[in-house]
Parts: sequence; structure tokens; C-alpha cells
Amino acid sequence: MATFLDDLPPIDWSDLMAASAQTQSALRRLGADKKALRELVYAVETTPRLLAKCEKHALDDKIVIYDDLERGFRIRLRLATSDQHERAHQHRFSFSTLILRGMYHQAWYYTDQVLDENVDVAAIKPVCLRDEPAGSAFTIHHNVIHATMADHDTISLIMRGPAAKDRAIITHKETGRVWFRYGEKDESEERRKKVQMPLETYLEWRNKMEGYGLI
Amino acid sequence: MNKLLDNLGPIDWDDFERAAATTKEVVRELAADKAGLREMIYSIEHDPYRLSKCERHYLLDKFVLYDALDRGFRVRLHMSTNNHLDRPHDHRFSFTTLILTGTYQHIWHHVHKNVDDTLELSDVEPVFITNEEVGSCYTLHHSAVHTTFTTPNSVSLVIRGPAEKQRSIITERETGKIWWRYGEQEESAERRRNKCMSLEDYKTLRANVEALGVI
Repeated sequence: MATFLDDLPPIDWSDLMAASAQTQSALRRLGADKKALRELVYAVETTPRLLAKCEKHALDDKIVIYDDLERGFRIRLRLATSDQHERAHQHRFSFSTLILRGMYHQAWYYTDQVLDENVDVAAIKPVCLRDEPAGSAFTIHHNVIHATMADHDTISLIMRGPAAKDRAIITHKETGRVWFRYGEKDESEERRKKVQMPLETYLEWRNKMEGYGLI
Repeated sequence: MNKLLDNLGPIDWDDFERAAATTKEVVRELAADKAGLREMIYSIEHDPYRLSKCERHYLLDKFVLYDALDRGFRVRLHMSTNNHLDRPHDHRFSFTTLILTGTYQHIWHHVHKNVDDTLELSDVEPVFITNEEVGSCYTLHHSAVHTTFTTPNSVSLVIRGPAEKQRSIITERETGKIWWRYGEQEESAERRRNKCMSLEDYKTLRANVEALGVI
């Protein structure tokens, strides 16, 4: 199925300002084009390559609707469940987000520590605490430590770039626990099975998105 | 006089998260009470102390609506001018802001060395890029270096805390210049005169925020 996304030029995330202009504009166009978004979401059901990339996690689920990392981007929906904790974390890649429904409560953190297993979680300090309503869009560098607690059923579009590192740190503020997230290719088969989204969950989210008038 | 603010505080900004939670709630309540906001803006005309604290800058004009730094806060209204520049800067104080009208591009930077006189713009890297829209609300720590790239007629309500350092940095992307901003008590009489808001300017700006529907 053809959409304007097929014609987007490659995105160079090493120039974050330029990448932010390109990707936020593409996300806004896609968010406003309910027909295209609907077609992309529906097509996942019959595209095993995309369905295999859809994931179910404790805090939120993801449905991958477009994948072309060779041109520098992959687009997915982030679907927030009701279970949200403050987890300051990095990503392996830079990305842009457009909030379609709901609200993000985002924190930026800063530390000059090396982000390895020995990091002192208490010394990762918040420097900005933000409420971001539907319609907000942002672009974030993979070196930023942040947390996004979303209201129940907050739905956003995410356009990510290629991985810039092998692993990304996750910290749990309350317990001080630290762990790392790896890319799909470095994950065990057991882990892949565990996170893979059942078709039933995909259909539930699709129905919800229809109910909310997003597609 | 404002009942909500008269009973507020003291606010302890050392507990950044708690200060954020308190001031976000207050700033939203203030914005929702247009009559109260109008009262605070109109009464500046007859309050030489607050009028003397209102300022005109190249990028921004400021009304001081309520001053209670002894209880840990001062409330201001910020109005963008018609000049818009990428000037990464920090503040002497932490603050909370709510966007009332207009929009501005907001960029957070990672600074790859100490913030001092030897800082160069190449050390200031954009890592988070967003557009703050009406209803966006955030609390920013005084250590964060950010750019607010305004558009005409963006107006926001600000609750700032007490100064936590003697000076704050301003840099200019276009020219590579850096300079410092000091608190009022350390400024020269000439500098005070230059940024002082005349009664006439105050009235023009007041009419403008009225026309924008802020009050």
C-alpha cells in the first residue's frame, strides 16, 4: 500500500535539528491523514514482517506500521497501558513523537556519570518536568535520559532512527535497580516470544483507535 | 492581592519534584481565573514597586504580577517581542511555565564542558526539540541550558523561584557570542534604565494581551 511515506528522503539523524523538522512534519501529516493511518494499521494484520515486530510490555505496547531503517526511519504506535512507573531511561536511537491522544508527563534527567551497571540512580536528577497534551511533538537524542509517564490509553506515533548503540540503560527510580535493553537481534528467542504481541492485543488496540476516532 | 497566591508557600525548590507539582497546579489555576489574572495585570498601573520590576528585553517583555520571593516565588507574564533568535541560556532560578497563547520552539541542550567564559557554541548540542503549544506546562531546573525560539504574540505565565546562583549565561548561535545576566541588585543604573518598562509601554502591552484574549 502506497503512502507519502514511500517518497520521504533519507533522514540523517546526526543533524538532529534537520531530522526534527523532517520527522515532526511527517508525523503531523500522518496523524492528520486518518485514511492513510488506518490503512497502515490494518495492513499490519496481514504483514508478518511487521506483526513480528509488534510488542507487548509492562508499561506500553507497540505496533510497528512502517519499517525502512535503510532510509533512516521506522514508524510505530506507542500505546500506553494503565501501568506506569517512573523509569529514567535512554534509547538506542534518536526519535520523534507526536501525541495523538492523552497526555505525557515527561521528565528529562541529567547526570555526568558513566551510564553502566554501577550508575547511582539517586544521582540521576530531573531537570525538567513536563506535561505534554495531545498535539505535542518532540524529537529526542539517544543520549538523553528521560521518562515518559503517560495517562491511561495515551496513544502516540513514533518515528525512530537507526540504532546508534548496542544497548540502552533503564533505571528504576524507586528501587535503584539498573538494567539494559538490547535490540531485537541481540535478544534471546525466549525474550522475543515473551514480548511479541498476540494478534488479539493488536485487534484490541485497533478497535480502541477506531473508537477514539484516530483511524 | 490574590487569595490563591496570598496563601501559597513557602515553596522549597530544593525539592524540585514537589515544587514542580505545586507550582504547576497553581499556574493552571491562575490561568483559568481570567478575572484574577486581569486584576493582577491592571493593578500594576497603581503599584510603583511592581511596575519598577517590569522589564523590556530584546526578545521578551515581562510583567511582574506577584512578588513573594520570601515565600519562594514570583509570578510573571512573559510576552514575546517581534525578535526571535536561537539563544541557548540558563537561568539563575528554577521556574514553572504555562503557555497561554502562541507557540514557541523549545530546545534543550547538552553542554559538553563547564558553563563558564570559555564556553563555545560547538559545546552546546541540541538534544530535545519541541514546539510548546497552548496548554503545555513545564518546570525547568536552573542548571538546564535551553532555547526558547519564539513566534510573535506567544504569552506565558511563569512562577519562578529564588535565585540559586549569581549569574546565568546567554549565548547566541548565529554570532557565537556569550555573555552573562545578573540579578537586579548587581546591575548598573544604566542597564536598569535600559530595560525599565515605561507606563506607556506597560499600557500598550496590556492592551495587546487583552486583544489576545489572555485576560
